[in-house]
Amino acid sequence: MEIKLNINQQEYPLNLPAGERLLDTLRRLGFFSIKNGGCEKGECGACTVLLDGKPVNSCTMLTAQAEGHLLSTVEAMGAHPDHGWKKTEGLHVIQQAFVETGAIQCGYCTPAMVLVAKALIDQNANPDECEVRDALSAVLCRCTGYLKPVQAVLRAAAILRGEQVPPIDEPININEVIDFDGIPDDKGTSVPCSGGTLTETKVFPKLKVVDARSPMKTVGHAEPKVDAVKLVQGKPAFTADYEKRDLLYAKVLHSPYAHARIKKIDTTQAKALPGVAAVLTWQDVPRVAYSTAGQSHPIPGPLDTFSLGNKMRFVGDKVAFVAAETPEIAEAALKLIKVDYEVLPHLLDPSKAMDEGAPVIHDEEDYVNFADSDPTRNLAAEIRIDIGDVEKGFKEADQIFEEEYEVPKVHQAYIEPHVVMSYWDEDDRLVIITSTQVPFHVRRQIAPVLGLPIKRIRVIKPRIGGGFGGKQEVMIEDVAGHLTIASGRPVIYEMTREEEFIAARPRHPMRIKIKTGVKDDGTITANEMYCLSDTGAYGCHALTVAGNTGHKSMALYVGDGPYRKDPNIRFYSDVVYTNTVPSGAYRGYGVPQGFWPVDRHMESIARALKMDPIAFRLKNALHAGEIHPFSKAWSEGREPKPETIYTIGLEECVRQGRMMIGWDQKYQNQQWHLVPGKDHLRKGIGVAMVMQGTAIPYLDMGGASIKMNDDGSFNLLVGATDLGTGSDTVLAQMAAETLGVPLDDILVYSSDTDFTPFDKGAYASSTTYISGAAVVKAAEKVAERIRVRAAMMFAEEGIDVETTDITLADGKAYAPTNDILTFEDIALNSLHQIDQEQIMGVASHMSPVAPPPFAAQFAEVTVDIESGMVTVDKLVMAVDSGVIINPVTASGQIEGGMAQALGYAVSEEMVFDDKGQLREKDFVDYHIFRADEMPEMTTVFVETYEPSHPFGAKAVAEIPLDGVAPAVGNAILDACGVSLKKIPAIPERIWRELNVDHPEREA
Amino acid sequence: MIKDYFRPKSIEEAVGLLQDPQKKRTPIGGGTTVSRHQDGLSGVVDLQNAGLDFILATGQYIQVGAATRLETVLSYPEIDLEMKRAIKIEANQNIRNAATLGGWLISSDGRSILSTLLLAMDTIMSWEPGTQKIHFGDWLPLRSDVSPGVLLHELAWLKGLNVAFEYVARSPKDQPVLIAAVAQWGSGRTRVALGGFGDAPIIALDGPDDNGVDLASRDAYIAAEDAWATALYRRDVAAKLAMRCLNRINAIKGNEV
Repeated sequence: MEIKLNINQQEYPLNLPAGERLLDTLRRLGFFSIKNGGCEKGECGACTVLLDGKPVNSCTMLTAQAEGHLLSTVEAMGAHPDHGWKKTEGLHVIQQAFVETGAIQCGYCTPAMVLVAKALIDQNANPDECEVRDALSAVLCRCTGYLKPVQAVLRAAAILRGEQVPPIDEPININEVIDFDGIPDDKGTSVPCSGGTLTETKVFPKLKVVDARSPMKTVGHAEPKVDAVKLVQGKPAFTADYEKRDLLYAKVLHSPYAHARIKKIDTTQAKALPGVAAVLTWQDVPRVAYSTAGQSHPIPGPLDTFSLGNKMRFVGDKVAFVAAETPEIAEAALKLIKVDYEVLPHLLDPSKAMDEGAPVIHDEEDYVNFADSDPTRNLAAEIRIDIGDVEKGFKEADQIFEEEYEVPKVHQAYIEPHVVMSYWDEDDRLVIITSTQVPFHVRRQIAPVLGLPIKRIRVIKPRIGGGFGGKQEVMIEDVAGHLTIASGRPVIYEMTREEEFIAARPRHPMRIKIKTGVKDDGTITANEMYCLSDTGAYGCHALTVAGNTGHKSMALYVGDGPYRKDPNIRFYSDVVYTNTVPSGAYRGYGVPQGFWPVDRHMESIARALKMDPIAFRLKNALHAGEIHPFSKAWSEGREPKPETIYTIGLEECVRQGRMMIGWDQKYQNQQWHLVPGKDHLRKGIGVAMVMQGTAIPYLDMGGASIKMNDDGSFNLLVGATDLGTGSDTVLAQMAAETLGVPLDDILVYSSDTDFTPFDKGAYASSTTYISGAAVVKAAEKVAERIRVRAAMMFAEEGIDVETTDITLADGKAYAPTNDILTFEDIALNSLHQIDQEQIMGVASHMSPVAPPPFAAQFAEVTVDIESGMVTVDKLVMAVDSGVIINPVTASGQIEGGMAQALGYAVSEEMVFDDKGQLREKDFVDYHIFRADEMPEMTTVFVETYEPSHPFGAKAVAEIPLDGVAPAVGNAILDACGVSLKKIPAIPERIWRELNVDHPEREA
Repeated sequence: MIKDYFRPKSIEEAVGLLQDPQKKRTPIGGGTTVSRHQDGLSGVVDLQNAGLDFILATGQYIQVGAATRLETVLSYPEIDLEMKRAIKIEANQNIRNAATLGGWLISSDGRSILSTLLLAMDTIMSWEPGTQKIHFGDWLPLRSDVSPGVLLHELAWLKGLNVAFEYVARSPKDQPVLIAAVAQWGSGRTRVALGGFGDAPIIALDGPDDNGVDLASRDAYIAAEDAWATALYRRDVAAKLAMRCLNRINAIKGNEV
């Protein structure tokens, strides 16, 4: 049909199918700010456009419906202020506020948020927080926890009203020791939309400096993200935004059975469908055993996956690939593939996986074992760690506490689905543009699968719309790669939201038994954990995730007195296969699974001993200067080496956190636990203490390359993978600080396996620490060359200066004589004038230690004791992540992490029926928190100085995932006496404890 | 696959397009459902210009055109606050700006708070051609099999009802696993609707007074079991939620006195 659209005040005459969605039309026209979240019911809102000034989802609208209306997109809102000779009005105030406040992380949902904010402010110049949250509720964000976007909108509205707003970066606060002596006002859940009323336009987080340090120019400051300006404009920065001539669209046929063998597969009709370019089955591609887990060589796990095989091991397993001229044709072709399955008995219960007679999921002869994997027993990995003498420790205990806990399979729920594009370049090298956290692992691991040498593959990682571990997989590149090889044409494969649920790699569910020996004075004498981990159909991250469950959570409580020096700890784990969607990496990497049982168990013990739960934990927790107990016993399948932990700010975290949440006024205050006028409600408060790791010692390596340009700016090339975390920004800040230039003189590029140095990728909380140290080393080399060149130039002017006496700052080299050379002078001299050289530095870094960050997390909840419904009112996290390189991006990590962990605590789980079919296949059934239902969140940074990092930093990205669930669980216990063993804390679980299993508690 | 798109300018024109027996066409309000369920459809009839976007609050009834956007309903002053709360919980702003009340109810399932609330309020549907009226509660269980026309024209409910709903979900804005909605007339007539389960909400009680609200609610959900909650849970908590609604209504009435 022929229609005319008015987009951003411009007429577009179009001829299109009557059933075409507005989203597809707009993206085809090049409006790449409109993002595809892969959903079909408008759940995510990434595809928002303004229709006559009102935000609507373009994915749930036919294009024809928009005729006669005014469509507006972010493309028309604002632009970079400087386009050479053409000056623009710059970014819109709302866009600028999003950039400044750190409201942009991955940026995938940012254009949508900016549009809903514009619609709101255009209609209401002075929106309150509820109204802002209501507007933003249409756009799901998995990165930010919504706090900073709310602040951005409130800030923009204030600016547009002509009001003064507080500065973003207040460096005076950085070195100021804040003692929260005053008890903060408890505003409780003061607004019906939740979120509290504490949200202010001031975004700099609370910061308590433990180890004083010198002030710095860039590090420690709230610099805007280096990619924020392009993301806020909705520039085509993501994989699906790349355009290619002759592009084919890929679709995948997935298994409808949990366990089956393909007896016969007929693709004749599918191949005959006009517009189909290639159809591939297991009969067409090489059979190569590999692992989709993107990890360093050698892969610490079994090689048990085949790009296409003739055995299906879960509902969602890959049966066939199709490439066609349009997605619709590809979809139609899938329906024409005839598959004759032999349905096999399936295994869904991990506790029965190793039973005699259980269905064997991996019976293939070409399965490649790793360490103790044993496919004949459905065992993907086995861990047996004994530290000290655990049995002796139990004998020395006055009391033994044993319990069993369970954590569910949960999804990372990144808003940008997995997407990959591949094509042959002019040198017949395969180029793969992919939304990955691990571009170098992709190149290495996909090469044999595609039958290509590594050197004939180039992997490009553009911006990523969130990953959270889910994109630490080599899971989609085979689809596009094989189809490009088969068709000779560029191919794009973009997963739908349903595919993300049925066929991606969510978090390992676990059943965990824990046994603890304690003396009557509260000293832990021995601690034992057995973890049954369900890796699903394939063993990706099987060993290492389970290993981390013990390595981090069981390391925190070593015991007191003599046990502190020689702790008794046992961690055993069996990681088993089941016929369910494979598990994988998810932010926290096994540690959230571990801290649910460990911390809930500590709470139970403290209460049984009638000890203060905080004092009990701190009595037994690690102290600075002690050896990480697991460092002598286990290291992700490699040789362990002892590590001393030098910085532990846990006690200070507890002190700050308990003051922020008002612990002393609420805990054991019976009156506070009641809600006036609502007899069915009880309030509760809980705490959890956690630790994580910072990279993998002796393994993780990152590289960096820096070169100086004619104008004194620098290109920083890193293989590190910014998946929205802001790592490009903090790496640039460290380079800028070392070189003495402003941040915008550092041009960061990440990542391209042809051009950037190797980096293991974005996982294990390693980028700031490992890649950052590489950047600093490279920058120091460059700085040294600048000083040498400057000394030479000073000498030519008769000024005799030692290179070591030259100071670099503000883009200049200062001699002690106050003589100055600009970096531009130095660059032009080095590149064009005398003894020409390219001033550059390349470096890499690997660490022998993995200094853990520590945190105290607090939660306040309200429990409906009649229905069991839990409302989380408040979350506070005080965290020791060493020196904070960028307080705004770091606090964004904490807030976003807490929001994800909140879902883990109360709402998120993936449930399979007795046929292995998943219950949750979209964001309606798999509910992630919206902006208008978030609890109040507070972050406090407790700054220690980690001596093994050039700027004293430790990790920040994963630790917020660890303690929310147990803190919420402990708060539920405090509220109504229910000691929950299994998360999420869905209403019926609480109700059962109150009414069915333990009815006496209701009183 | 949708081949034809129509945008009629009147109800009569819309009805004519939808009555063509040779074509399988469907009306669309916001399009939030149709855009993803195109199989077997030959055409769509977009109602945005058909004159079905209205709210009338004259007389005893609130009458809302079937193609009225949820956001319009939300912002209309005479709409009950409890209904506004239901809309806000159920649909985010983008959805509210596109989805129409008629389309939303027709495509809703048992987990819709709005549908449950309107059922409790004994909402009347008006269909074209012929302005045929049917109670929402009579239409819901059988849906299109009993639709007295091809086009939903209007929804109407009595003004001044005392209404309240309570729900249980995993989070405040999650899809509920249990909803209880109570409407009470000035005469004392009390209607209790339950939702959170199945294809549609159901009526647990429609009586001259509020006697037996809890028992009726418990009985109505005695077998309401699915993957999201057990019947044991639903029946116990449904009774409690219904009583809570009633208590809220009584409190409101007490304040009015």
